[in-house]
Amino acid sequence: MSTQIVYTRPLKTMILGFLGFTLAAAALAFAQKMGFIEAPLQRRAMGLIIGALIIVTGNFLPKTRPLTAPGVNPPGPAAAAERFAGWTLFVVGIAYIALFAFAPLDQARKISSVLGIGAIIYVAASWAWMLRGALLGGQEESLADRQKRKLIVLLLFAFFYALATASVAFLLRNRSQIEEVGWWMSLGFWLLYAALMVLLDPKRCAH
Amino acid sequence: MSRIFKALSDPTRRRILQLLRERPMSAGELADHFKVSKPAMSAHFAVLREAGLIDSQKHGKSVIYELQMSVLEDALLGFAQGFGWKLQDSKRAKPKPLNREVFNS
Repeated sequence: MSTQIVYTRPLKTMILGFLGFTLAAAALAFAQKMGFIEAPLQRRAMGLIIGALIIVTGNFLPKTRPLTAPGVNPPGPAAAAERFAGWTLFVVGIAYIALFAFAPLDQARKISSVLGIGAIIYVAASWAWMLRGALLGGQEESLADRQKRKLIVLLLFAFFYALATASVAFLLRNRSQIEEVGWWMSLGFWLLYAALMVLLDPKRCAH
Repeated sequence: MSRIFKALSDPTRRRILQLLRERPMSAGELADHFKVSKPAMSAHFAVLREAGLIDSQKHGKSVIYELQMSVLEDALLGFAQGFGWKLQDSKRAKPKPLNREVFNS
């Protein structure tokens, strides 16, 4: 039986969002290094940017439908898990922004770390049994569609990784410690990314 | 944005979205829930699809509709729903036209 799928996943929006986030974070770090802004202000701004990223990702997540892989994941529960993750992230993002805008920086850092890690665990728990299907893709999906979805799943991985990194970094006070963690985290990200690529696309890596 | 408001302003379309929240459904399945003619139904589907709130998927001969809503659109649907029902109730004292049996079948 032929299945024709005409999904319109807002992939461009997501990629642009991630690029914008990376640029803003880099600009902030640069401004702080050059002495244009103070370290506490930079941390506050960073927190606000991450909060905005969480809100935007949460908002679009149910629309990108990373778990909806026809033939692998049952459509009803997949949509429910996506909606749950979207709402969770949306609420967490608003809390993040409120914290970094109004709370004392010390408390904002601690609470936001707990919030970030909590959100990751919460979403991971609700996704666990469907993630494999989402990464491998279904037979009923067209090839182009499967690749689009895989890209979205990888982008989401990157987002959760960034959130985890931020949560760890916000807990640290010592400047050199933060930088060291940052280096290890970015190295870890590329290792993780390469491992995922090999796992998901053995054919492409073979030649 | 105005497309989304237009899509959410109609009670039939809102009910379609609520039905799709349970699971993806075919056009025929959805039409069974309403006393609306088929052309009118497909016009509703077209409005919803143009607003990007639902997505269609051809499975052989039947078309299956799936929800594709962002969190904000989801919240907007909730607001529209609450607001719309109140408006209807104040307009006429009759109970809501939607009865539970039809909705749940």
